Amino acid sequence: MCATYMINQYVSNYNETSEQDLQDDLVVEAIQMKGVDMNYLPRTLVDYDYLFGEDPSSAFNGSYTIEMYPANVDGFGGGGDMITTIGFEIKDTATFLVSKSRFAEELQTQSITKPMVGDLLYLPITRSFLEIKHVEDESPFYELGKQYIWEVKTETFEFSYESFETGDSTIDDLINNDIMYYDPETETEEYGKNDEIQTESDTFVDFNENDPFGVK
Amino acid sequence: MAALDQHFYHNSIRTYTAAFGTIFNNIYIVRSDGKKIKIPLSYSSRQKFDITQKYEETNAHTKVKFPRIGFVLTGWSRDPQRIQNKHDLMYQQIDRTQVNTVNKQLNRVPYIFNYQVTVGTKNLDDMFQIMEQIAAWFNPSLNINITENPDLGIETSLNVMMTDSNLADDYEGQMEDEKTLISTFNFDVEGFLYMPTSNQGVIQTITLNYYDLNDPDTILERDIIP
Repeated sequence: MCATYMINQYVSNYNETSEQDLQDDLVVEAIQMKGVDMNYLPRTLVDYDYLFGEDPSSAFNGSYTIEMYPANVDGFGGGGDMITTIGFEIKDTATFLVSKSRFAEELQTQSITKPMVGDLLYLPITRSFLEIKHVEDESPFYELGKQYIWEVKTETFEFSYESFETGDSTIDDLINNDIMYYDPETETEEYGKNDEIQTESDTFVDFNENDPFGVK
Repeated sequence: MAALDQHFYHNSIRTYTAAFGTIFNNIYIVRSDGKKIKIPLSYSSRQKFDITQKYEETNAHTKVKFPRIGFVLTGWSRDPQRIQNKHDLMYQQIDRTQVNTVNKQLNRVPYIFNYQVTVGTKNLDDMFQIMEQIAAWFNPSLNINITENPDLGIETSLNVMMTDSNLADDYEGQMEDEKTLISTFNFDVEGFLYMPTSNQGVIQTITLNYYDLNDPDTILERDIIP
């Protein structure tokens, strides 16, 4: 029994590989012409917690340059700069387009075939560390029957004492000088006023946890 | 004459706030890789210039550093449970043999100060470490001995009671939506507000006269106690 075709069988819009290759080349060229070089920092799980699905000890041990096209041409999206009960937060979001073929080409040595949620992007222009929140793989929807780009949706990275040894001196220096410039065991980041509070309280507080009258 | 025409300020609320902050001043988390992290603590309601100036200095842009603890005074109310005679006097705690006058105040007014502590972490394990270190101490309350009211130098046992706590683990929504992990603890601090200070002379000498009951005009003996 013959297959039933409802579309015009004499025009191939979705299965012509030569057309698809041309489209892919044009996408790569467009991104390389108008995009920006970004660093892709894959996350390494060090001590994955199966129960809560997290790894507080995650490490970022590599950096790979790949060109991407910023879809937000008028700046970052998201909530912007916010003041909350726990300090200042930069809630920026951004979407980047990256060629599937170029991404695979640049990261094939790492066996990474697509951008992964949880990995980071470093945008040198703004010195922003962005965490990948979602990777959309069906937008635009099957031009000429194929997908050519990953649409990578990111948000500014929530730093929580992960390890960074990317091997990229620019990134590692930035981490060491701007983010992890103190000893977290004895000092606090700029938000913390622990020492000042302790110094002031030392003049009038007498708290001894071993004093039975100290705990009601 | 205006009723409230005398300026006085005993620094009580600042004292309670700093003392309250001290409770959460030295909390740590320890990661499985051995990394020990002291949790930064700050009063939440800061002037915007104070917050943004610091962050302008940094070159690297990230969303926020977690974990953090913030605390803020959210309200106050008179505490009728601890009220005492308001006409009683309170005196300066001092060696009266060394001074001629002492400070005195009408009785203090018991007040409950409400504080909210907010803990923000990225990871659940971090949150649980902090929660356990805080909550275990409040069974249901914790007392801190403080010296307050500089005019009198009073020692007060400050009762700090945890009234409630909750966890906001906001993980639902679209993939690109923000995931937040915040826990909130509410506390009542049983403090006081103090009245204006005035002076009272210290009795330097006591003269005791002994009289004959049958002859009240005759002093039998006199003792002078310096």
